[in-house]
Amino acid sequence: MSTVPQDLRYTREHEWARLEDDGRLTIGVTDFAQEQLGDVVFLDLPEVDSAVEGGEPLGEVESTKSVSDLYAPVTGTVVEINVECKDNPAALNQDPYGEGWLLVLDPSDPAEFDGLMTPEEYSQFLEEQAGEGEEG
Amino acid sequence: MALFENAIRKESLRSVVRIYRWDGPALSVGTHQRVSEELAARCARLGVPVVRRCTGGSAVLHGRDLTYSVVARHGTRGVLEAYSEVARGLIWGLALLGIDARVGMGSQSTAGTPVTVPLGARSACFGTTVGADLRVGSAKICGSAQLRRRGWLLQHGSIPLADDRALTRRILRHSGPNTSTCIEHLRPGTSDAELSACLVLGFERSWGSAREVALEELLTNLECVE
Repeated sequence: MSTVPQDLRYTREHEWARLEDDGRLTIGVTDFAQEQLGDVVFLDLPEVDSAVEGGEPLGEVESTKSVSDLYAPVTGTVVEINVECKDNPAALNQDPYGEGWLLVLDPSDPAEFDGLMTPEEYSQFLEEQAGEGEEG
Repeated sequence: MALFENAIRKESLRSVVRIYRWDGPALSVGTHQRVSEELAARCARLGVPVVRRCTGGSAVLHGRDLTYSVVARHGTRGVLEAYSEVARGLIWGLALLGIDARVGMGSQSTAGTPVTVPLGARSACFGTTVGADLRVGSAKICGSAQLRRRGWLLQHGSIPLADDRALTRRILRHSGPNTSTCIEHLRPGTSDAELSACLVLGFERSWGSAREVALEELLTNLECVE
């Protein structure tokens, strides 16, 4: 069973966002995503100060068996990337909500955060996905 | 890759399976895999072009293999689920040749291992088996890789027809144990046309009988490129 922390918001692309005290958003991928990806071996993250658009690709994550896009949960500017995780992508698997965070965004519109899925909605989303998978 | 890009741009909503050969020896490397100058020089000396895949993973020597690729919507399928869907077609196809292939659960790779060529066995796709690969007994018969973008997946993989491990070792300079096999060992005398035809039938049989399969639309667009 994948972990879904209660203090975060989520996207349909299985990313999480945490609202920090300064209004910025820390972004990562969820426990479910890291389980699906398997061992992550490479992270392609955007440059600091680059502008990203909500819902658009901002990087890539390569695991032993797939390459998947990373998406910007909201529109904003990249203010920090997790260099340690980029150097040691295994952190994403080991601690997706902690040491495996990916980047920090300064959102253009703080209200966008409220539009992301709540933990309850994301848990429901995961259950629906599991149900669809079983039907196939 | 063009099919994949077209699908994403919605110029084409078709999903397609392709099965194809390579003109001659070529080394494909993962999208983020570093190719050392030494390896590049060795390949140049041997007349083996190096091509970069859009997918991840490690180096694969082509030329005496058959390659498949699938472009399809992945829907809600996760990475391993999609692998499983594709694997069913491959397993059926190989079964038609009397080859009992299973989804591999062999030695797992280790997170955080630098993807650099050459490093040893892990630099070569057929030097290691992960959960999404196909094996016969304990030997790997098909290695695959997947790219997921905007709801679509491109998955491709290589099935060795003949034993290319000597050349692979010469190019990648790894000395790991032989963990792979090939069609020639499993069913001597099998031609690439025969394997190709069986794989097409395998995909048809697998997906055609499924009660609800995300990739079933592939059936109407099956291509066999030889």
